[in-house]
Amino acid sequence: MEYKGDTISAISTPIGIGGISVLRISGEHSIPVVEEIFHSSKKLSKIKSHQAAFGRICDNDQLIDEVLVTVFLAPHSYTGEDVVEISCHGSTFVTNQILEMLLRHTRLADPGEFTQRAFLNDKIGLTQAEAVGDILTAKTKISHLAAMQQFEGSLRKRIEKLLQKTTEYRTLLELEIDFTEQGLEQLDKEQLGGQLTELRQELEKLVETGTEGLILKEGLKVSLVGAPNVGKSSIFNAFLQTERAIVTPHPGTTRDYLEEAINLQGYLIRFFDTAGIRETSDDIEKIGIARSYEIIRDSHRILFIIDGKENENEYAKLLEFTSESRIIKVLNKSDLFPKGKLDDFRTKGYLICSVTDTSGLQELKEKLIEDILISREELQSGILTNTRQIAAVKKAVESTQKAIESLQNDLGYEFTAFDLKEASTALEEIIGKVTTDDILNQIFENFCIGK
Amino acid sequence: MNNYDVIVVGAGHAGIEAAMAAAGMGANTLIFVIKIESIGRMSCNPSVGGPAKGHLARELDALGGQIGKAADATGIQFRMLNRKKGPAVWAPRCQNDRTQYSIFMHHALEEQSNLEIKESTIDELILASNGKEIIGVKSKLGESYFAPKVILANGTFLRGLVHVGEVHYSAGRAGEPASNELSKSLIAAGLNLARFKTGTPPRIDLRTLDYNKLEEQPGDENPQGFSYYRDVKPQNLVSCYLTFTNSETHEIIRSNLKRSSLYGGFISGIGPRYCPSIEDKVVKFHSKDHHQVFIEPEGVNTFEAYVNGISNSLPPEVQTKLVHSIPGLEKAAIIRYGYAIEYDYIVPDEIWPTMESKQISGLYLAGQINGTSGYEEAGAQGMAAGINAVLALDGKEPLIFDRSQSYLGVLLDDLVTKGTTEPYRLFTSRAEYRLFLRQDNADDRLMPLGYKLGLVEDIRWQKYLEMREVYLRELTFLQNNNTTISNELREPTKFVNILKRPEIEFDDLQRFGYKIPPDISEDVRNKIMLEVKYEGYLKRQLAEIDKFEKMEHSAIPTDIDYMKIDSIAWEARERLNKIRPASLGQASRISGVNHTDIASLMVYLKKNKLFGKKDGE
Repeated sequence: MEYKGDTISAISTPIGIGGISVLRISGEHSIPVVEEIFHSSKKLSKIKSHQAAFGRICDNDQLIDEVLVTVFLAPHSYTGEDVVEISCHGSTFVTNQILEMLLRHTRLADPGEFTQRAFLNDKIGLTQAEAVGDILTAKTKISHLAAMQQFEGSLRKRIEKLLQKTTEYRTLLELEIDFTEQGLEQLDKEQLGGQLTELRQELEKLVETGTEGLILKEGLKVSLVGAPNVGKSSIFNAFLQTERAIVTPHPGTTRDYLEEAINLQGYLIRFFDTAGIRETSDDIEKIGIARSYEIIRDSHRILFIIDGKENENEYAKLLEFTSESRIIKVLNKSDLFPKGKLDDFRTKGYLICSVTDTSGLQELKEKLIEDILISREELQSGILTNTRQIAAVKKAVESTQKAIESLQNDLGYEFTAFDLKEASTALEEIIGKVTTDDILNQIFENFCIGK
Repeated sequence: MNNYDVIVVGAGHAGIEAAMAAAGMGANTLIFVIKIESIGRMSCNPSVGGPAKGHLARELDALGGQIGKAADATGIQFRMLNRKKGPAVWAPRCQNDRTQYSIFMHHALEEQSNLEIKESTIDELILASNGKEIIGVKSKLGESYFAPKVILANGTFLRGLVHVGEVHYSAGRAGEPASNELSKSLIAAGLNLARFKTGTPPRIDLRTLDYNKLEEQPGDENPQGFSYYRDVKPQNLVSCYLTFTNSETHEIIRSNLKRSSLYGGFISGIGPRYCPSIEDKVVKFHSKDHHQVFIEPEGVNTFEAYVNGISNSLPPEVQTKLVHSIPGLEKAAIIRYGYAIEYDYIVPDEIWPTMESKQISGLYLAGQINGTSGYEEAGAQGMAAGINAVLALDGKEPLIFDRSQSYLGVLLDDLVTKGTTEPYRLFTSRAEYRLFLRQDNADDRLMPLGYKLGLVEDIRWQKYLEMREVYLRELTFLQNNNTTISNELREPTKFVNILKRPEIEFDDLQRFGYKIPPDISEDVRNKIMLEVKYEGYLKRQLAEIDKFEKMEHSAIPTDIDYMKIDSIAWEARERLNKIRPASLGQASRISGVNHTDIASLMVYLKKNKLFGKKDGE
């Protein structure tokens, strides 16, 4: 029998800024799932096995990346199922974003699951079987350990609380459905609606921590952009000299940009000195500039540096790749300008600094982390730190919203209960299962049931 | 002489469905009952249905069972519960005439061909010399009866022990003898028995009540029954009444707690949490200053009424005081006292989903004997046992009900996979696929199966097909055709789009140019409306069912020695060995078996080329 499991996906290459990343999708829906987000002149379902197609991954018309997609049709693939591999540019941001899109229709693969499927579909011989068994056991042990470590602490507690609330509301609904005629107080719909809205808001807050959590884990990426000689490199070096420079986990090895990292108030800040984004006709330079765009798109903050000459064209160009909220406009060499001129720049939103007399540098540092400063309380209350968790909580937000709507529209409590169960299942993916017996136990413990 | 295809022991709700299904499928069947008068006895309250239980009754009816028919024919008050909630949990419920119900069931058994009724107590199982196979049963009178398939449906009779205050005596229920010897025979055969407890409230005389103090609860204006296309018109003949306990009642109970069998330490069996005695309610929920009490008439030819809500095991004089403290019941005459009963049940990990014993082939167990409670739950098991006994006789594939397709499947799977620590009752919340398992589509889900088995009469089947045709025809019409009167619309649109609007009822479609055909019944209208309005939810539910089915259809052999699979955790191995699941899906629902164990199991199955193999392949 051929094992027909659900469709799974995962990032198959080590995460980080390397050349490319590969995402792998396996299962009977892998081709339609990818087709939905992949735009190309070739239709994916039409191309032959082991052939590749070039195209773009878009999320609602927003270009995420240009990628190469290879199709391996069952049974001639690693797992024996239909497999699609997406090779994208190797940035964490892009890779995670594509994974997140895939997770809307697929499940994140468990450790060793591709190998497990390969084995179940006779793609690996008997001799390798024992080894797979071992890998499986070992991997699950490791992941179990890792999971335990992650859960030791605040995130688990935070999600447990949310799950507890979800369970409590589900209990109220089940009580109304199964224990009608018990003379119990009727469900207060308004109140439950309010509680659900609160729950959704809390879940949304948790999702927001995910962005910060990822920054916390992988660093805040800051790119420096500006015309030659405006002082990009000197600002870059000023940071490295005044703050403790640390060895970067992913050293920039290409000649197109420099990457250095510092520790700023406990945050990992990764600076990228780009090749710039000016128009050019030089072919080699063009390649460098294309790379700059990618870095800019990936960056959480962009320092747009000038030394007095406003560069509106370049700024406009910049906005094609990032949002205004991410850009910090910087006027360097402030020591060369009279005060009145500086005030002009200030009103235009520029941050004024000078590497020469070090004025404004401290302000710039503070500005960099101003918006990501996660309060100590928030850290202690638990934050999300990976794409899988973020996807799960986002799903919970969606389902809770549906529950609010079904309750408001009087669809019937069983539909609201269904929505909430979905929310619960999503949260359970992070910390473990709530069974129907748990719900019934809650009912019997807290309400006097029985005519 | 004395040779049969199937023997059924017990003629309660499980035994009746088992015997009727077996005989209906053509097996030469014999059914035993301790007292003829107690065939189909409603020993607790005279009522069928309610959430999940009503769904189950409808499902049994769709399969060709008896409970729905009997409930409709002998019902005296009908209500559709949960009307104010959504349509997936609307639940039919009725009060029945207790005596008429018994008589109806007695007639049903008598009229069934291939079926013989005998009044006798069965004391012993007769096993083949290997001790692993049943060949018959032996009665108290020493007579032996032989059959390759025996279905035990003894209810609470196994070593039944009745408690009223400090008085305790052996009985199957009040006034009827227990079957004490059979338990010994079951233990000797190696089955694992445990003990449960349940109880009933006192019965009172309706002529002695003060109705000014009671709140009347009439039946529905348009009473709906359980059984479609049978031309039985459900009728409301009586009302129920509601009153409440008060602080005086609670004080009487508290000051006499030690004299209650339950709190006096006389009872060791575990009782159901969903159906607590009044002692339990007062002790565990002491902050609640009143509890509901329903007065439910027991029939139209009697003044006896069931006092739902005050089940207890207090001494008679305390029960009298208790009843008299309740408004409206101050002068009530008590006809029967309430009591608690303890009984043996067989731990349900002893049986396969077919209801057959894992240890003794040919022996089937159904009903309260498996640790369940409720007539509907019992009937469902009886039906499954009866059908499977005959399928096995005929050498056919067993019929395993799937939990995504019926409440019947939920019940049977819960029972054999998860077991139970209290008398098991079905709730809609136990069904993961509740939005699909509705009372309105029970026929679609199960009647084709019942018809195939030969349990649904041709005339009903024809009526069902006609209804189905109208349903499909009109649904297709509404999906494919545009509105013709469009005053309220900017432009014409498909009828279904109109019907999707929350405020639009089926008949409102006339305003948009739909001509309601004469052959479309109210049921069909509701069904179309439901399918259209809730389409989004139903699709989401079906997607879940789809996922579930994949795991469920990964069959695995039931003779695997799990103890040898080192990569599975020890506790999980023990549970798997005990339950011996028939599919990966079932394995994954066993408590104590986690996701890693399942992955290891898959690896083991693959390595040994056992994947997808059924027993004997």
